Amino acid sequence: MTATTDEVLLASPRSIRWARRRASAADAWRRLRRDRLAMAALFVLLGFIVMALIAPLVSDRADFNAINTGDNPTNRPPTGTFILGTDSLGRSVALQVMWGARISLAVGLAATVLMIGIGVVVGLAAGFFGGWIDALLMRITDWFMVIPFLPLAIVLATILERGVGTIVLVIGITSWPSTARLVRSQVLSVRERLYVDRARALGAGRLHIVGRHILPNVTPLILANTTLAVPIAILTETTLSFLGLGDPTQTSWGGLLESAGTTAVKAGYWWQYLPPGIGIVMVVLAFTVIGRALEEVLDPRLRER
Amino acid sequence: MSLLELRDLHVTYHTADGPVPAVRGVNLSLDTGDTVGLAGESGCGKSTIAGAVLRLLPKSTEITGQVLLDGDDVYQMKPGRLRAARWTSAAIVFQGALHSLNPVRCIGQQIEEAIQLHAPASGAMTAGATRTRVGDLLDRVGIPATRAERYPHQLSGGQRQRVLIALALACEPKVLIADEPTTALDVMVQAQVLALLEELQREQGLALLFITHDLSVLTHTCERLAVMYAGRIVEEGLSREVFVTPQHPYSRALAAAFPTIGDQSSRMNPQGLAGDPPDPSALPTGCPFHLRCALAVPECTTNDVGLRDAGDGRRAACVHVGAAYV
Amino acid sequence: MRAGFVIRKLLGALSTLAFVVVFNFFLFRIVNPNPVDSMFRGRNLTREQLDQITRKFNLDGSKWDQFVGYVQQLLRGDLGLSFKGNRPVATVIGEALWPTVLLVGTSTLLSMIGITIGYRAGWRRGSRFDTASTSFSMVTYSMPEFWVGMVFLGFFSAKLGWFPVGGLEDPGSNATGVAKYLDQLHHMVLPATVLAIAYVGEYMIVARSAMIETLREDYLQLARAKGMREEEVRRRHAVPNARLPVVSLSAINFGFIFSGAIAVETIFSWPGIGQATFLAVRGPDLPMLQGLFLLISATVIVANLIADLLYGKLDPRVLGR
Repeated sequence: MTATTDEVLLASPRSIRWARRRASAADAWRRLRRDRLAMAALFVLLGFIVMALIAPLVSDRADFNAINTGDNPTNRPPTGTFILGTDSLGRSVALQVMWGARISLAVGLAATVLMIGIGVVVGLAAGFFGGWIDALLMRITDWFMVIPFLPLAIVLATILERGVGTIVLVIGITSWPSTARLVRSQVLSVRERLYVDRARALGAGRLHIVGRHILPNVTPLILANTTLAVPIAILTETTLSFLGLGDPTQTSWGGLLESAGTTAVKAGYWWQYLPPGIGIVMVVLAFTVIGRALEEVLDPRLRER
Repeated sequence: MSLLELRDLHVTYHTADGPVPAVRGVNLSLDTGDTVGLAGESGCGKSTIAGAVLRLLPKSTEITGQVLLDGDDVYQMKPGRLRAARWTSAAIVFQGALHSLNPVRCIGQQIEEAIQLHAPASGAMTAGATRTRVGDLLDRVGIPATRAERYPHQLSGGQRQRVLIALALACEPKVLIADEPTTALDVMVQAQVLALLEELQREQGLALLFITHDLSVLTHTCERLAVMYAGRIVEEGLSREVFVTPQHPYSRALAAAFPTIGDQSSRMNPQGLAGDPPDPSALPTGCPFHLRCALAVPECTTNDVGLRDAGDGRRAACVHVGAAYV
Repeated sequence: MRAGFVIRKLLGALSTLAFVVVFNFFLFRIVNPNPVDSMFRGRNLTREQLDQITRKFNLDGSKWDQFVGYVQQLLRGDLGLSFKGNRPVATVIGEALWPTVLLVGTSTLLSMIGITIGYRAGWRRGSRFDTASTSFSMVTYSMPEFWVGMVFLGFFSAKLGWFPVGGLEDPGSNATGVAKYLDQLHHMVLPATVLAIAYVGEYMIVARSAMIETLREDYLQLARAKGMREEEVRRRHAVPNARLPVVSLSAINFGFIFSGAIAVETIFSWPGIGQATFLAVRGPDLPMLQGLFLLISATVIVANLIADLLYGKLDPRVLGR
């Protein structure tokens, strides 16, 4: 980066910092662009997001009211107006898939934010404060990791009121431990580094150290981890909905699979269960591919020798 | 016939970012009892030479020239012959012993492995004989034989380095290559390990090639010295002479970086060398040192001068030195 | 040194088990001290009916009284009575154990082939084999396993008729001995394959990255310098080190043996713990759920303990000086 002497002299530490951050972000983006697979995945993901967003424009929730669709043929394979066929109540599968994308994506993202949020706070606190706080938090984390995550999610979903909020809460509460561990070990290794000691010698307060030194080094890892956590959230939501624990008033892809159930399978109504499943696979795969590419871009150690 | 001879060795790594010439025409020879030091900063190619001798470099590496072990070119050897020659003709004492030893095997086992790999097909050593030999080796390097059951992480840094030395001697090689064996150690431990190496070398008449960036160590341990820069040897001769009266500007800077104890003038005049070692994939034109050289003349930017005779068995690669070496 | 290590791990496991018992109990009561109210929310039961159930199953009284009663029962080996038909929970669980162990055990063993594939992929990183196997793993990992079950059922069962649509045995079959086992095996093919596909990716990825991490190590170079053949270097130096994370993963996966198959067992009507959990949720059947949850957690704890002990045997560094 070339800058005139005047510019450098007049630039404040903050603006220099931000310029540096922008440059490294731009650099990371450039490197990510080179990964064609990741770009394809990003494209696919955007496609699904668009699909989810335009669902209310294309149809109305009222279309799913059984009373309205009473005249429609039931269980018809894809023909004419029903590009993905109809389900047992005569509703269009294609429309349901579009609406389902909204819930699956929204719940997946919200649950991820929750699990990462808890995980980061716990991991930061444990890694940074050390001592008994660390020991206590790690004990709690270990205990949570021992409790099998799906049964716990199932029990919680049974106890609490059924709804989208519950699902988000349940997934968030059960999945934070691995993020916490990851963040903690990263914080520990950053703490070991000399420049943190030097900052302390200069009289830097704790908040300053966390904000300026630890967080920027931990953030890339968290970002990559987040992208890889979304698949877990989406798959868990799908499973919970499939088991009947989802929100009965909303359609999600898991819910679609539940209503299809073994009936559709045994009767051969493949259009009722294949499309939602394929949607799930594509979205989850897209997030996984992007997550791995991000990991490689942001963590220099993982790059090929 | 020399035990180890490098003839016009060129090593070029092929990386994702393009070819990197790490060694650009090195000639070196070792006979029985010779002690040669190879000095230089990181990136000058000296560690590559250690790997090149036993053909341990990545498959994609391009190597020209010859590496003769006991007269046979290592790069012409069939795989079976190569494996047999490794460790028995020449052995390497690596640096960073914590990472060079397998953490899940005890040290005795790792030495035994070397012995058993080269045990003769007929009359192979019995388990008991092998164990005794391992015990003897450990004893010789100053580690009680009972420690053979220990794991690498249970030993101190100095002890681990001695284990590596014992390991290197397991098959009685005639050539020993020490690749930065003391770099990761404290000064006191360094001295002990060096003393051990010297003792063993004298005792067994080993040909020792000692690779390091620490010049002061070499002047004591090695009789001859070669200074490397940017993949080439830029000066060679008797180590004492090279250190006291260096002919090449780089050797001069390297020697001056070590203050002589008792010499007031060197204390007051710390001599660092401006600039950084050159990037092997982007070498300057002409003499690779000219950008950092106080004595550079216009000719240096175009003429990558080879080793020139500086009299008395000394050679240096500088335009200011004597006549061209034929 | 070793004994200390073992005792430490044992005590840790016991304390975690105690925690789980407490957690298990209070989990069902976090919303409402009377779990019946929470669980039956949304079902059409009158207040009277709810109270009846509460009284019948001793679910009234303060949390602490109930807890004491619960622990006493537990120590007697009594897991209470199921809401459905009043059968002892322990008995119902006992009947469901074997089918799940059979199914999940078999499929886990099958999916472990992913380990060998992973080592090979890691050893030859970037090769076509590596790219192919990694892609396969990523794709299978993205599929909800019960959906794969649905697809398989739809195709191999409903359409081709090669396999039955569910259950452990043909209903009404009187077969005994070998014929009976063959029948069970026939029923098991689809669900076991589905589960194996679901898990093979995880083993492959972990084994691969363990191998890649190990490949960086200098002691492999030393082994080569000693004059060892490549395959031996891999076998005697790389694998024993790459093995470590894989062993941990395997042991932990065994721990999740009972929770992993919930959705698949449901789809295939497999009469195991998974299906029992699904039915208990449907019910809702509180004592069943409580008992199942306890069983599942206890299995994980035991498996983790075994994993820790095994790891201590394979990696001398964790034993401590």
